[in-house]
Amino acid sequence: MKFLWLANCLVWLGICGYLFVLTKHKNRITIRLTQIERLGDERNNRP
Amino acid sequence: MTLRQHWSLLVISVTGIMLLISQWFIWFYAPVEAQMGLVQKIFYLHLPLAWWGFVSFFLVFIFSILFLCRCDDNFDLLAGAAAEIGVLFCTLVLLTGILWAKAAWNTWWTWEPRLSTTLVMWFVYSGYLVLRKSFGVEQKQKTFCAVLGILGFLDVPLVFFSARLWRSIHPTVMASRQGGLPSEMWLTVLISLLAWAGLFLTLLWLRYSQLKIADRLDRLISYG
Repeated sequence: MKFLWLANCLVWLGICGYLFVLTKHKNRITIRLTQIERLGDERNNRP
Repeated sequence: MTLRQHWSLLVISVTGIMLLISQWFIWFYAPVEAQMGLVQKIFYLHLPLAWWGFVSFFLVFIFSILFLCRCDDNFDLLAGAAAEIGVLFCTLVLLTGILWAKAAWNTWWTWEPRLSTTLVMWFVYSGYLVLRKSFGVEQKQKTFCAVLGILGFLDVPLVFFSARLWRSIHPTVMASRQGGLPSEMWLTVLISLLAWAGLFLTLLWLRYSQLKIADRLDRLISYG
């Protein structure tokens, strides 16, 4: 029983870990997008 | 919410429900095997992970060939996404296998053909991922990765057939018709395979979308 539980926990820990990494990657992309948008706005507002 | 986000949510929800159903089948529907007891149920996690791991590496192989033939960066990104998921699944296969081995063979690890070739496969594709993250000249790096993606696949059929080709203590499920499993076990295997297929495709799609956006942003920044 304990081995089955352990196997299940490890598998879901692995999947959740990967999803966490994907979320962090997504946040990084959002930050970069905001930076680019801000740069674009600055350029457009330049006289 | 955009139409794309609606679809994403739907796909993720369906995958989640399928995985919950597969868990129900594993814990409550599948009969307890007479000799090994509950530990045998690790097989319902181990087998789908191994199969979809193989499929990932096959996709790396196909997309690497397509990248070399057509020089389309999308194929390189798809190969990268497939390799990541393949390594994740392969890691989980090794971990669940180790637990099963301890219960069945009374040892965590033994250097028998199936286990050894799987470990080699894990090292090859981990190396592939390290190569993707490292050194400079972009196009050259992508070509190197594609070549490794093709050459690395040589080990995959070896893993699959190792238990038949050499003397191995690893069980072969598909050796006989229906793998010699009772119908309830067979149904649980099929449900698990389907559920993990859903997760595999969802992860592949999510990761590919992310890599594609990141690649576009990189280009935008480099063009100034």
